[in-house]
Amino acid sequence: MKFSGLVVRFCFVFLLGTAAFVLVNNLIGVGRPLLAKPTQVPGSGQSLRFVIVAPQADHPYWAQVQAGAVAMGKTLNVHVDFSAPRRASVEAQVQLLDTATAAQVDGIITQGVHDPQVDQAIAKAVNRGIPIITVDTDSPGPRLAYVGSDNYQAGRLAAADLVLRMKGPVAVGIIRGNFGPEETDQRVQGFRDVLSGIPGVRIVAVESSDLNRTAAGQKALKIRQQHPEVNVFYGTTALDAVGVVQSLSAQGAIGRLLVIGWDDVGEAADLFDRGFIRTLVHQEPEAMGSRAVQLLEGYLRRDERPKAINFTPTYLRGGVSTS
Amino acid sequence: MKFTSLQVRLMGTFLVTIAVLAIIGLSILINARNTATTYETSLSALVKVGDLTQAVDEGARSVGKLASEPDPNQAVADYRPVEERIYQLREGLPTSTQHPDSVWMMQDLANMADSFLVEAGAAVYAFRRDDPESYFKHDREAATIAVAVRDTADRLLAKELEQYSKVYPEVIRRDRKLQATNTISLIALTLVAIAFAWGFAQTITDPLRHLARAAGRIAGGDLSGPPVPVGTGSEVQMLGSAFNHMQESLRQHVTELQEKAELERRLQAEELENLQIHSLLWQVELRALQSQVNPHFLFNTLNMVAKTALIEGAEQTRELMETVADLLRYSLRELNRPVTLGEEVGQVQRYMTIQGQRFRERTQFVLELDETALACPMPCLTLQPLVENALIHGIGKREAGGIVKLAVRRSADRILVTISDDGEGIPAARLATLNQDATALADGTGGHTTGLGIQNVRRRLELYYHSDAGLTVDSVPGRGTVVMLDLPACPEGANEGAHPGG
Repeated sequence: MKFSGLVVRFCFVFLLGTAAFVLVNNLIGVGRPLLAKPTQVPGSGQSLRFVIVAPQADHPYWAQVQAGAVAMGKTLNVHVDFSAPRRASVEAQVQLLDTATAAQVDGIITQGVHDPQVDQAIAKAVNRGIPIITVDTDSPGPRLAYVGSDNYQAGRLAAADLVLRMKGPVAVGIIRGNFGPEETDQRVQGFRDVLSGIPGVRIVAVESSDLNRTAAGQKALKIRQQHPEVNVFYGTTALDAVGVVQSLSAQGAIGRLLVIGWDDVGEAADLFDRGFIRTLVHQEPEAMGSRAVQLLEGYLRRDERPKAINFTPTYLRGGVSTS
Repeated sequence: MKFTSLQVRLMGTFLVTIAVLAIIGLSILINARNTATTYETSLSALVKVGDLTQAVDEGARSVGKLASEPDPNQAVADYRPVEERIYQLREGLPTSTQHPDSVWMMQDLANMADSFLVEAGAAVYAFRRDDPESYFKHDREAATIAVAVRDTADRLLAKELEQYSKVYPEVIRRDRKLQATNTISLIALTLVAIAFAWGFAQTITDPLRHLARAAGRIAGGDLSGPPVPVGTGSEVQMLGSAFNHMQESLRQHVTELQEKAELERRLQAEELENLQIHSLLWQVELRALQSQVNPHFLFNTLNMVAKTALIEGAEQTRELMETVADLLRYSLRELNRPVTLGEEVGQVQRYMTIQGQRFRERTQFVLELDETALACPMPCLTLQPLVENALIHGIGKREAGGIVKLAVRRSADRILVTISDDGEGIPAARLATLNQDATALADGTGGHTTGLGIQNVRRRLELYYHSDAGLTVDSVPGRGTVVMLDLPACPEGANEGAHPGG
């Protein structure tokens, strides 16, 4: 009698306790959402949105462009997306441009590549009312503006630095990565124009590398074989200079050579730091990105039509006059 | 004690148990529903994206087929529902995403769907206007957009799934933990509920069981059991209390009945005893009458015979008869009235006269008396038994006869009475017993005539003289026996007088 009474009392308390426990346990689960608070999709036209269509993903140079653009976007309340194919190709760029056009973004930032398909895609976007700014390389046409380096002037700078360095006769081999024929031409032309009036300087060979590091190295070896007297190499892209250094250092010849390159990003910057590349033409991709966003924002929000050509600063790293 | 109706308690118990289980079930349900809703929302968002992609693909296909269809109108009619579906799906696209980056893709998708509808519509319009160039251009555009849609949807889904995959292990972990605790809790709750029900039932059935057991015991006639434990306040308690009260009253009632019966029984027994006593008294009286009638009848008869002998002139016979009558009369007197030594001696003489007639020449009786002592009082029938013993044991077995001598001598304050014979004597062992113990004599005599033995005499002397008298037996086997009575003497000339027997 007494025992069962105790059992009843104990059970009663236990029953209520367990019930409360289960209740709290389950309701805590209800109160604690499984997923983070979802992000609301902003309606069309509520805020500006630009897309950078880069030629290649995971490219340090274009990453800087993106960084500059995003930073400027934040200050101007503009969302900047970045889209790029894994491997650089015209088809991929066209598709990405078409996608951005179909998505009706507010503006596109891309590289002009002098390809009819790309030009067509750009024209289509402009037809749909999407302004496009070309950066790094221009492709004159319906695009709103170009933002990038003054390649000709930079080429002259590099040549002037060489002239200041030279202590005897100089034989120059040029590896040109054909990233945009005009820009490459300008880089080479500026270089040539300075050197042409200088006695004791010869440009013995100009080879194209097609933006391929291995090809650049092979072309450098070829020039060395044909013209053993070559003591200066001028690579018009970061890849060209890197390819030259890699193939020639394998030959053990790098110590006697002066290598001039472009862009202190990625491997090129590394080789510059280690002294293999003596001089680098420094561009400012971040400035390109931020300037492009600035121009687009002004055009769309305040109808400020930008100049067609907008130069961003360039200077030499390791240059005699600068260091 | 607080009294709660059984009904209230039962209802309370059931309600509490049911409520607890219901609350738990409900909370589990709510939680499960919450999880399911989250999944549903997320999944349905992804499914909508997939659906839109599929619909755009289908739209692009059906626009592309327009040129190759045999019936152009049918082809256009086929495209319309697809167009409608794309429009609806585009309107129904989720307005939020899990990954912050994918919101733009979601917006892209909506815009692309719009672009697609524009291009596809333009293609259909051109087709119906028979403008193949424009048709092909817009068709190609639509196809391109369809590819872009698929690409964007893929990236969007990848991003969203990436976000889900981040939380998924946590979701699974939490869900399993909750499931485990819920399962354990439910099992524990079920067990405890069972124990609760058992305990509660016990609190009700236990007193009832006690009650039933007690009732059975009482039905069997045993009212002595302890009171039934009544439990906590409820109808059962009332029942128990009432039962205990009933048992107590019953017990008192039965006790009273028993006492009454006992009293009656005792009364009856007393009555019976009285009757028995009366009966005994009557018997005693009867016996007394009988024992009185016979000797008196015999005594009167003897006297009558003696008178007849006188009339007939038989003197000797008459004397004998009178002696017998005297002997008889002396014996019949009240035994506790003292007599004188003289009367005792007279009795012995009468006895010896009759025995003399019986044994004739064989027995010689010698009497030596101090006359001064004869007046002294003494207990009745003291000497006769001793003389009888001497005659029977001393002389009775001898062919040649013997001498029995009674001598009474007196000193200043003592009287010495000697009864001697020249018979066989008494063996030494037995003699010692006779002088010591009071028990063995009567047995030894073999239950002879008078039945009064030496010990009887000794006892009576002790009582009468308050232990101032002595009785000594001396014997030499083959030569004879002497019994000596040492009695206190009375003052000279004093005579208490003898009372004749009546």
